[in-house]
Amino acid sequence: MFLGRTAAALAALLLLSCAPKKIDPPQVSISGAWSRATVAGQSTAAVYLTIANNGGGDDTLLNASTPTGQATLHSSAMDGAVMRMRPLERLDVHGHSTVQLKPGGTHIMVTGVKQPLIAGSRFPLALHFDRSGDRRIDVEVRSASTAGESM
Amino acid sequence: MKQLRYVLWIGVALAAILLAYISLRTPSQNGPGANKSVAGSHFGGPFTLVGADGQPFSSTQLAGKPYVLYFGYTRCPDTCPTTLNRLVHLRREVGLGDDSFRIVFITVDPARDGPEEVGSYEKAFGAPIICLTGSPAQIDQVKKEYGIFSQKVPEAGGDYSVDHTATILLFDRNGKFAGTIAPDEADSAALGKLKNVTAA
Repeated sequence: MFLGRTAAALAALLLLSCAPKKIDPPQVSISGAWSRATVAGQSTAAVYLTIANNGGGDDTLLNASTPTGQATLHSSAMDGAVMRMRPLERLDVHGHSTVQLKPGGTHIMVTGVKQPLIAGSRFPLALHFDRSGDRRIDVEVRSASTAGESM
Repeated sequence: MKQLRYVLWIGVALAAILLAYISLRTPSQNGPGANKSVAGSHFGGPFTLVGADGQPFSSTQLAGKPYVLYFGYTRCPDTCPTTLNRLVHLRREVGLGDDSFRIVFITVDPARDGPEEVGSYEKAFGAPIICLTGSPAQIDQVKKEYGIFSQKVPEAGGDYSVDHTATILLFDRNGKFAGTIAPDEADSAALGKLKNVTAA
């Protein structure tokens, strides 16, 4: 009897400790999406943006899509003096946190860009989140000379 | 007295172990991609590549002005445009005009970057930069001389990206190696180095 009650109490505690993350919804908002204008022959672009999660629940960016090309999550990282770029399987966006996709770090890589990206234009991008579903945004194309230069 | 001698011998033994540890450890810090030759005596040297006009470009054309060398590829979506744009902005901050030092970009992807591609890259940053290509053998040679590592990485859809050394190399007006800027180095430190090499 005593054991049973203890087990029940422990189970309740365990449930309670897990519960907030499951019950609290994430509140994801995307801002400041931009990409560089492509140069002749360049069919690859990187998209940078900020994901703010103002909710208590965690979320995960699973992938992205755009009619402009094939979008994949990517990250650049220094390995000694060498810059290596690799696909990312997913990107966690914890509750009450902000994740920045910026030059020299995590970005959304768009390959197979057929039409040149011209400064001043925009193109649509959809972000697919595990819990928040799809978010559609516009990406602003900036000239390489005005785009953010620091890493 | 005997005890003191033991203590001294233990000290000597510990020092020997420490020295052995240091000498064994040092080479392993220069893994692949580390700029081993940067500190070496055979670093750099003259080169002949191909300019955006399709004509040979000799390093002697760089004499008389300081310059920075950066290796990359024009299809690079992230690091290369970020670095070149950063250099253009830093040169403005040095405040001595666009000809105070030259920004030289050398492709590590000659298969895709011909004179036409490096030519349009030259025009993309709103300020004068020199973009060079060459035959695969010429590029291999200059990479070797300047301690640059690069490696193709297959991407989805049959495309490829290139991992490469992203260090910026600095040279004074006599073409003498004057240091490096790491891509993740703070702008203030980078600016100090560029001011030094420009003033030298």
